[in-house]
Amino acid sequence: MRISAKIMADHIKANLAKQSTQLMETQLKLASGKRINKPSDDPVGIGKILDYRTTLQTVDQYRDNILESRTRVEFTESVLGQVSEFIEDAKKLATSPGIEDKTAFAQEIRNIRQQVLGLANSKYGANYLFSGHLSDAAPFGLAPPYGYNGDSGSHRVVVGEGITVPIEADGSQMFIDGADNLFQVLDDLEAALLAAPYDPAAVQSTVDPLYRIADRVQLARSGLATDYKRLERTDDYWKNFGNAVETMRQSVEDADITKTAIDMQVQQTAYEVLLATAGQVVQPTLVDFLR
Amino acid sequence: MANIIYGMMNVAKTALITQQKALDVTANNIANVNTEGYSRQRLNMEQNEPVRYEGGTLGTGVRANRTIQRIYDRFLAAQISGAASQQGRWDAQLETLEKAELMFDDASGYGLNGAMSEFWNSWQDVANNPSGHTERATLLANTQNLTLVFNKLSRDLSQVQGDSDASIKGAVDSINSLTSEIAGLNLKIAEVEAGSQHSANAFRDQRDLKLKALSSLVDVNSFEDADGYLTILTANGHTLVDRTRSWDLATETNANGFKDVLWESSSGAQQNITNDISTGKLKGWIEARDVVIPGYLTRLDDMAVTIANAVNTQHNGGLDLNGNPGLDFFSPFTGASDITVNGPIVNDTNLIAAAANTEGVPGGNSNAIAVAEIQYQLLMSGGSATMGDFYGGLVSDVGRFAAQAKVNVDHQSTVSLQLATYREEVSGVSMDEEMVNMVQFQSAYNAAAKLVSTVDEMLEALIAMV
Repeated sequence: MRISAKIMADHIKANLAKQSTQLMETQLKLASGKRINKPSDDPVGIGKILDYRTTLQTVDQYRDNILESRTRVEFTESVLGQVSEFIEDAKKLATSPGIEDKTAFAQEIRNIRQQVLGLANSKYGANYLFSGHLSDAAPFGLAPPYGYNGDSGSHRVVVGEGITVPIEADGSQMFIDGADNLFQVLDDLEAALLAAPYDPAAVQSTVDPLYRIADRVQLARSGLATDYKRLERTDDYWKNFGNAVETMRQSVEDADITKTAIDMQVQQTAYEVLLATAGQVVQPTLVDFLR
Repeated sequence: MANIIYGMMNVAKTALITQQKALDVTANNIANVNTEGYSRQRLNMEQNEPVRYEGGTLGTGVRANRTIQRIYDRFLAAQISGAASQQGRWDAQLETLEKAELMFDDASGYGLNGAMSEFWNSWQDVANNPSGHTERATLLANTQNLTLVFNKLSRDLSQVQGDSDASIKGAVDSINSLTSEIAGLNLKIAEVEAGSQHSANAFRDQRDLKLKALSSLVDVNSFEDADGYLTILTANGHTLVDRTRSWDLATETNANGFKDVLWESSSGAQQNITNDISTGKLKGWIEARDVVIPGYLTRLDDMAVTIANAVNTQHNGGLDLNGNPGLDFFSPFTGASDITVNGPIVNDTNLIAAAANTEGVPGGNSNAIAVAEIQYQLLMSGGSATMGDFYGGLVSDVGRFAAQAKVNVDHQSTVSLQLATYREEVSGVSMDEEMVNMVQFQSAYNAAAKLVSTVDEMLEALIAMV
C-alpha cells in the first residue's frame, strides 16, 4: 500500500473531527445534565419524555385543583360547624324549662339569627358558598321570608382523567327542611318569646324544625368530611404517581453524571493520544534524513 | 574508433537530458503534493534505437516517452463521483432537517407540548374559580401563547423550506457553470491530445474535480469517448455536456411557490426534471422541501384545526358570564400558521363560557371541565391518539428523520474517505517516494555528467597522442 502524506493528513483530520465532536457532545450532556438535548439524540426517548412531561403537568394541575377544593371544603366545614353550634344554642334556649327573662332570650335568638344568616351568606373569595352556581348572589334574603336565591348547582372539581368530585353548594339543602326555613324558624322563635300573652306551645313548636335542620347541617358536614377524605386520598395517590413518573422521566432524560464524567475522561485521553500520535506521524519524511 | 567516442558523448547527452526531464516531473509532483485532485505523473524512459557496429549492436542511449503518464484509476473516479452524489444528498438533507429540528424546541421544555399542557390546565383553573378574573385572564394569555407557538413553529418550518428552495436555485446556477467549464475542458483536452502524442494531464485532473463537484450536486451519468470528450447526461438521459457544448438547467416557480428544475433543449423547449433527480444535494433539498417538511406542516395544521374545532364546538355549548351561549373560542383560520383567539374573547374574558348551558352562572364550571377533557379524547390519527400522543409522535419523527440523515452522512463520509484513500494510494504523491526518485535521477544525472568529462579526457588523451 502506498501511503501518501495526504492520506495520513486526511485520516488524522477525519479522526480529530470525530473525536472532538464526541467530546463536545459529552460536554453538552454534562453541562445540561441531560442525555437528550435534541430530538435526534433519541427519537423514541423524546416521545416518552414529552409523554411524561404532559403527565407530570397534568398531575400538578390535579393536585392544584385538589388543594384549591380542600381549602374550600375546610372553609365550608368551619362555617357549617359554627352554624351547628348556633343551632344548638337556639335549641337549648327554646327548650330551657324556666323562661324568666324572655326579652333577653329573644335578643339572644335575634343575635343567633343574624350570625347564622351572615354565615349562610359567607363568601369564599368573591363567591357565595351556598348559592349553588348563582354564586354572585347572596343565597338568603336578609328579611323575612329569607327566601333562597341560589340554584341546586354543586361545585365540581376535576381530580383525575374524567373524574370530578362534586362539592355541595346548595344552601337550600342545608338550611331549609321542607317548609321550614332556619332563619324563619328563628324569627318565629323570637316572636313567640316576645308574644304576650306568652304561649309555651308556640315556642315548643319551633324546637322540632330546629332539630330537623340541625340534622340537615350535620348531614352536609358529614358529606364534606367524606369529600375531604376522598380528596386527601386522591392527592396522596397523585403524589406517589407523580414521583414514580418523575423517576421514569429522569431515567430517560437525565444523564448519568458519573458515567458521563468518566466517558468524558476517557474521550479526553483518547483525544490527547490522537494529538500526540498525529504530532509524531506527520513530521518526518525522507527529506529530514537526506544530507 | 573516434565515432564511438562521439557516440558516447551523444549517449551521455541523452542521459543528461532525460534524467533532467525526470527530475522535472519529480519537481512537479513535489510542487503539487497538496494540490486537490492532482494525480502523480511519471516519465517513462525507453532505449533509443540501437545501431549496428562492426558485427555488433550498440545502444544509443535513452529517451523519454513523449506522453508523461498520469497515474490514476478511471473506475475509481466513477465510484468517487457516485459516492459524492450520495453524500451530497444526505449532507443537504441533514443540514435542512437539523434546522427544522431546532424549531421543535421541546427538548428544552419550551415547545408546543408545554404550551398545550398549560392551555388545558388553565381551563381547569377556570373550572376551580369560574367567575375569577385572574383565572380567565391567565387562560386567555396561555391560549395566546399556544397560538403564537403554533404560528411561530409553522412560520419557522416554512422558513427552512424557503431556505432549501433558495439552495436549489443556487445549486442550479453552480451546475450550469460546472457543465460549461467541463465543456471548455473537453475542448482543451481534445486539442492537446490530438494525434495521441501528448496527454493533457492537468486538464484531466481539473475535469475529474469538476465532475466530482457536479456529481455532489446532482446525479449524472458520464462516459469518455475515444477522442477524450466527456459526455454527461442527467439521470433520465438529458444531455448536459456533449463534446464542447453544454446545456443549461433552469428553474421555474411552481404552484406551491417553489422552484422546479427544468432542462433546456437546444430549441429552447423546457422539460421538468424535478422528480427525476434521484440523488445529489439537489435531491436532498427537494426531498426536504417537498416531502419531509410539508409532512411536518400538515401534521401541525391537523393538530391546530382539530384543537380549534373541538374547543369551538364545546365552547359554543356553554354559557359565558353574561349567560349567553359561547362564541367560537378560536377565529376562523386555515392552519397552524394563522390560528388565533377570537377577537371578542381577547377583548372581554367574560365571554369565556365556563358554565354548561344547563347550569347557572357565574358558578357553573362544567363546560370548562369539558373543554379541559378534550385533551383525553382520541381525536387524532383517525381516532386512535390524543393530541399529546400525536404531537409526541411528530417530535419523535422529527428526531428520527434527522438521526437517519446523520447516520447516512456518517456512513457516506466513511465511504468517501475510504475511496479518497484508495485514490491517494494510486494517484497521491508520496514525499518519500519522490525523494527516492530524486536521489535516483540526480545520481544518474551526475553519472552522465561524469561520463561527459570522462569522454572529454579520452579525447584529450587522443589529441595529446597526435
